Formats: sequence, structure tokens, C-alpha cells
Amino acid sequence: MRTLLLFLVLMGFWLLLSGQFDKAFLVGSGIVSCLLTVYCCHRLNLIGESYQPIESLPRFLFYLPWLVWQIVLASLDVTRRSWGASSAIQPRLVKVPVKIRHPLAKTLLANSITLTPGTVTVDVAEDHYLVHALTEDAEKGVLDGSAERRVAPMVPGSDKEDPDLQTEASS
Amino acid sequence: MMEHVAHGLMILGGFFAFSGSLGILRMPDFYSRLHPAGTADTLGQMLVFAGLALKVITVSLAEEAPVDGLSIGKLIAISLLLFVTTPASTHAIARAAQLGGLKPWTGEKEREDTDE
Repeated sequence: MRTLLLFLVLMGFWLLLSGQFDKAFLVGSGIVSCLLTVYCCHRLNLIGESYQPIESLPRFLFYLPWLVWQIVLASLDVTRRSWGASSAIQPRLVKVPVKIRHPLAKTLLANSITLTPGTVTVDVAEDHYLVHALTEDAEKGVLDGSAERRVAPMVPGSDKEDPDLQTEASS
Repeated sequence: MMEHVAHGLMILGGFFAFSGSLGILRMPDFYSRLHPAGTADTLGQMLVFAGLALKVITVSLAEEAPVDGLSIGKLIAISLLLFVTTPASTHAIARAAQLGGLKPWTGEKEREDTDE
């Protein structure tokens, strides 16, 4: 199932980039390349829940508008600070406790924190993030855990230890 | 009409990208500089690509040709790629700085000993 899906996505990407649907050689070499890639992924154990998170996709589509809105706010915020006086910032490093353990959810959360106003994720540790915040408001916003509450329901079982965690950490 | 909207989006996107660059120059220390680099550019690229997609549609309509869905698909693919990689690269740079022992400027110390 995941294998087939991976092949279809790769094939769709190939067709999108080439834009040639009627030349037998191009489409054929696309099929060969995609099959080879899927075979390699299979051999490398790169087919699994953390690599093709199809279960999380529907919820992610609901999460996306909120994230885009946060990006708009963040950009307006940063634009104002870029043009305004530099004394308007009091940067600090904040330790943010994080409950979720699933690698995919952690990645999503770290990226979301970077994209939300006034905060950049500096370090991801086992049970907390190190976040650089520009202002006190940004610090409060990241400490209240609203982003985590939005990310957590997206990945099933995100509060549990992931079986692939060892492979993720070593790669 | 639609063409002007497309141009407007592109100019607005350019403005945000420029503000991001200005922010990188004006922010006091390394970590603060990552903020405009990571966020303003994301909005900027989304606006520019939205404007370009709209432009593709208007050009197709003006030539009475079918809408060039392939180009729009490519634009969306590039936009999504940047959307995913920008925060990841921001994080990579920040982590490298942190592992390198760079301390963030907190407004108390002199600027020169943090701004490397």
C-alpha cells in the first residue's frame, strides 16, 4: 500500500517536472527510475509510518491554514521590526518542555515554532526544545504550548515512543 | 484587472523579501538575524509564486489557450519545497551556532563579543 503510494507520488512528480506525456521513452524511463527508487527505499527500510505519514495527511490539511496565517503574522511582525528601531527586541533563549515523542510530530512542531512570530527553534532534545525568542510576548506564546496542542492530534500515537526512533537518530 | 493583481502580489512578495534582507542587516546578533531570514522570506516566496501562478493564468486567457496547469503545478511544487526547507535550514544554522558555543545577545552585553 505505502509502496504503491510512494511509486505513484514519485511518478506524478516525474511527470510534473518533465511535462511530456506522449513520448514513450521519457515516460518509460520515468517508470524505470521510480521503480528503482522504490526498490532502494524498500531495501533501506525507508517504507513505514514515519516516512509516508498518510494517516496524518487529512489533519495536516486542516492545520495548514492556521500555519499560513501564523506565517503572515510572523512576517508582518518581522517586517515591522526590520524597519523600526532595533531596541524593540529583547532576545532570549527559552527552554520549552515538549511532551510529544514521535519524530514526525517533533519535526513538524519544531518547524512550526520557527515559522510562528518571533521564535526560532535552536535545538531539539529528548524532552525539550531550545527556542530563541525575540520578545517577551513571543516567549509567552511559545511556552503556553498552543502549537503543540495543534500538532499532537495530527500524528497518531505521537505521545508514545516511536519504534523507528533509533534509526532516525542514527541517520 | 487580474494581471494587476498578479503584479501587486509579486511586488508585495518582493517587499517582504526585501524587508527580510533588511532585517538580517539590522538585527543585533546572529540568532536574531535568523528570524527575518526564516519567516519574511517564506511569506515573500508564497506571494511571489501566487502572483506568478496568476500571471500564468492571465497569459493563457489572453492568448485564448487552455490554462497551463503544468507550469502552475511546478510553481506550487517549488513553493512547497521552500516552505519545508526554509525552517529546516534556519534550524540547522541555529543549531550549528549553538553547538559552536555562540551565546545569544540579550541586550546587556556589548555587541561586538557576540556578533561573529
